[in-house]
Amino acid sequence: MALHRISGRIFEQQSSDYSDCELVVDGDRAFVHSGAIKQDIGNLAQLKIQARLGSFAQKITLPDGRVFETEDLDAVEQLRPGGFWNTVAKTEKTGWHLIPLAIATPFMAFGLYKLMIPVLISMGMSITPDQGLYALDKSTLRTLDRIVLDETELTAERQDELTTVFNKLLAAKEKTGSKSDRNFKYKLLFRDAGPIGPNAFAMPGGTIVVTDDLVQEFDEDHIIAAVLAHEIGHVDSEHQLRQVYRALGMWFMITMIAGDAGEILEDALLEGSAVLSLSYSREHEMGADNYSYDLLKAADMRTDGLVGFFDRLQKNYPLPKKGEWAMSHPVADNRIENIIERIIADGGTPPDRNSDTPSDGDDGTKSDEPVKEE
Amino acid sequence: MATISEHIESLPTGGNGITKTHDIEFKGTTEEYFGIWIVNVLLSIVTLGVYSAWAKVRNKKYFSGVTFIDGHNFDYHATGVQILIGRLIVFGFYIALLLANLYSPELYLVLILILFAVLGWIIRQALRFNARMTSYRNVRFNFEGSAGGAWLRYVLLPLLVYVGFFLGVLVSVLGSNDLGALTGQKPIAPSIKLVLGIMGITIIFASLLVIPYVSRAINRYSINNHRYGDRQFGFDAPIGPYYVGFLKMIGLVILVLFGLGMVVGSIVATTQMTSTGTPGAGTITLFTILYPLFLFGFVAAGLVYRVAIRNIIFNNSVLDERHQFISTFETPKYAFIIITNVLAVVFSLGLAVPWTRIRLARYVAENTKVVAKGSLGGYTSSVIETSGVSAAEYADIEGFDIDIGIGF
Repeated sequence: MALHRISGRIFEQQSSDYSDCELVVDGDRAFVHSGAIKQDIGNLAQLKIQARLGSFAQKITLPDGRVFETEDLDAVEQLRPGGFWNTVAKTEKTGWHLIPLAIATPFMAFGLYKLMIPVLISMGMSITPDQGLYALDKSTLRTLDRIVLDETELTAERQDELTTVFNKLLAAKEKTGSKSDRNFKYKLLFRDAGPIGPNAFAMPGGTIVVTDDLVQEFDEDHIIAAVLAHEIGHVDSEHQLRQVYRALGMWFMITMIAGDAGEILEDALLEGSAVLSLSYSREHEMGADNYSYDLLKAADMRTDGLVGFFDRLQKNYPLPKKGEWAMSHPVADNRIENIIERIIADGGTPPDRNSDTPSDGDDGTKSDEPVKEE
Repeated sequence: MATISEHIESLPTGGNGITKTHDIEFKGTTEEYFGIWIVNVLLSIVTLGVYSAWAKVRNKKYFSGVTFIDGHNFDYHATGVQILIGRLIVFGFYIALLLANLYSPELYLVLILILFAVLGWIIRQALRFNARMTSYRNVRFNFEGSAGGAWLRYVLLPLLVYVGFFLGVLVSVLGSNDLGALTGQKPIAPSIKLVLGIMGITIIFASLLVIPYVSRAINRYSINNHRYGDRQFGFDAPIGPYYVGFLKMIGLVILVLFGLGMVVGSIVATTQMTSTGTPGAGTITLFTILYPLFLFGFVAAGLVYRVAIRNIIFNNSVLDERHQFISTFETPKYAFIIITNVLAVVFSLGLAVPWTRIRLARYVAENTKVVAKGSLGGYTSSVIETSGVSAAEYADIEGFDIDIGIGF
């Protein structure tokens, strides 16, 4: 093997004292030459050569704990050529080859996102037992009850009537079959939600909560039925669980990969993924609307309930006072059109939207357009 | 403010050796770092994030390696395996928290209490790991603070400030609002309202005004317990400069709130005069423009205090009772770099990250000096054992600001 002579400086063990010297490697033996003194320091294989990085001095730890430092990086590489870290260091070097790498990176990141997120979601969903969903329902409801929800003020009769509607929908679902093979525990609960207003929400295990405001504002059963069917759709399509695992997966990927790419980039991506999850939420809303339509049809119930629901909502809440309707729900017009299209496709007659029962506080305007100027 | 030459003249004379001011030389370039960064990102993606632990090491090693004082550079010695194990432990703990939250609220509470209790230990371990993994001129840094000391400064004192602040807010809300009307009880008498209001505002101010003392307590703990080799760092500073920085920050916050508040107020007022009805799209757009301005103002205010503290730390620290430091950060320049860095990253879709990091590190180096009395050599490491797992990962992921190395 060739003779290598590398000049540099050597630090005493754990010390900042150093002296100039030469590291000489003859075959597989290594020597330190300082001045006239030549010292055999052992086998080449015993040297701990630090991975090359950038263009600053590279360090070699000798078997006795002293550290040899040299700026002759190429000579060090010849001592022990090849290996993973030498390849990494070569790739890192400035050069034209970095341009294709830089171009490839965003595509690979996007590919990873497209590939990994669905994998992480389905992995998470498959390891989540039904018991976990019930536990999630219980803890979510407990939290909500503590923070915003109060006991319902609806009469027992009204609750019973709506529960009957709910059970009718569930019976129809038994007939048509479920999308999921999970054993959901469907349960309809009524709560006074105060400032949240007319709303209904579903939890992943099958608990569905309807607010008093919703029941009071929409006293037509076919509208409530459509909303309930929509929420059953969320449960049966496992939308909430998907969202939970999407958020966890995104957080995991962003903190693991972008965390080292840069703090600013990481923050930007985390914000971006929150916005992105809104678009998935829109997709889910549309899916639940279609589910609602199918379920109402299977139950032989009126299928235009959601049209009435959105019309009234737009009329009474012209500007999204309720933030979540604007953010996470597709523009109501699209969703109305969607239901009307489905009714027409099934050969039905779309509802007469102008004769919708006016709600209390209506000033008598017959137009269903949101009131802009008075 | 004293100039640098005045500062040097004010240093104690005598002892061994002559006094020499060393600039911190930063030899990193965007050109060179870009390759390291892009390979880091690419390999992290390809390995589904596993490589990111090694990527962190290469990053830190690069920035340490290109930072020189008196012809010698720094080095970072942690291995990718240590970082990876540290991260796995943190993720494992998060999963345990998640499951406990689902299945057993009692267990969740127990885990949170345990975390709260051991947080001081974690922070101490993180400071120690970072110090021991860093070397200058073949000699390791070290950290010898106690876990209890870390808990007191990093956990308890800030917590007391928060509790005090929110207590004050609560009391003044009780005084200013008719809670009685909301809850259906009798309204509070005006005199009691006044007393509550004054009490609340006093508590808010008191808890805000102790923040500089908390900052100084944290700085004293973290600097005085750092070692270079077996030699101690020493730090103490009068409270005055802390208050100057703090009041500048508060002043800027108030300025931002009032300035933008007046803009919003006047625009909303004119809109209401010209048209009745619900706020239109124009107002919404206005808010989306003003929101970043608010954010920008607050970020800038935060930077004012950070810069002040950075200068205080370096200008009042001593190593081995003889070497001193100078920091000449200026808020406008520093804030300009931080804010244009953010813009550059956003508009380059991340590609400018290497440039922004080099630019910031260069500013830090250019504005830091070491005033050495005698040689910077002659030190010996006290730490030989460098095994262990990176406790710094928890602090990293949770965003604790414990980094007081040569940068921020």
